[in-house]
Amino acid sequence: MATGERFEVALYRIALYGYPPAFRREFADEMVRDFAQARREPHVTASARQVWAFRRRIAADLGRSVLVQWGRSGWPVILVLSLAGPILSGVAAGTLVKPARFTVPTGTDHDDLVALLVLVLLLLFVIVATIIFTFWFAHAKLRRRA
Amino acid sequence: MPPLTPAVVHVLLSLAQGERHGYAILKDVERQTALRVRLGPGTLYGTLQRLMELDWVEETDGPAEPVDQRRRYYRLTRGGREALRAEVARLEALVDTARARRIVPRPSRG
Repeated sequence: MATGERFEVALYRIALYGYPPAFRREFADEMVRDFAQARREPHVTASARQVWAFRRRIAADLGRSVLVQWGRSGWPVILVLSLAGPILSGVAAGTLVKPARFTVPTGTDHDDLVALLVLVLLLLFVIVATIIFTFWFAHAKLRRRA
Repeated sequence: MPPLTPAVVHVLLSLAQGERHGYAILKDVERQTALRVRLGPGTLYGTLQRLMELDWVEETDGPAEPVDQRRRYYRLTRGGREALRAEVARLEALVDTARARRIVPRPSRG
């Protein structure tokens, strides 16, 4: 294999780190082998134009499938739900607890209060993310067993 | 059952011929479609992963004397064959409708 090809294969292997770990563990070796074999095909190596067409095709496939795999991994749902949890509970608390009037503190007099609010929101985010994360993986494990 | 994606149909069609490893599937899809469809490794293995989750495709030990022992082989299950049959029937019905409406000509006989 030429140095250029070896470099491309190494680059492709690095690019596969963009996939979720489970998918990468399962298929990365096969994908690299397929990439290397496809790169050596005579119709790919015929001209510089063909080589670039191949690179474009692989880049498009990589970009598309990385997004699909992350979408399927459930992480976007976890993130959205984790953000929605603190926001909704904050809104609910603001609506239910009287006096409902709340103004965002401005100026340096309220730095401590702002820091406290940020910390509370962060804590809520971590709690909700942990709960969702735990349920998600417990569910995935049960599904695998079934 | 919702319509299958083109990648799924092509992979199932390829595996309907017998067990194959990933690269052989890629090449077969190119042959099936006269290079109009070229699956990349990301799309292929994503599709295979989904099909294995659906139990339409399963991994096999491969042939007794494989050309490359590191290769992983896949084959169609009964469920996969039924899904492919259902999809082909759906496509046939679609083509029949298109022919009845004279969108595409009827195939000439003889």
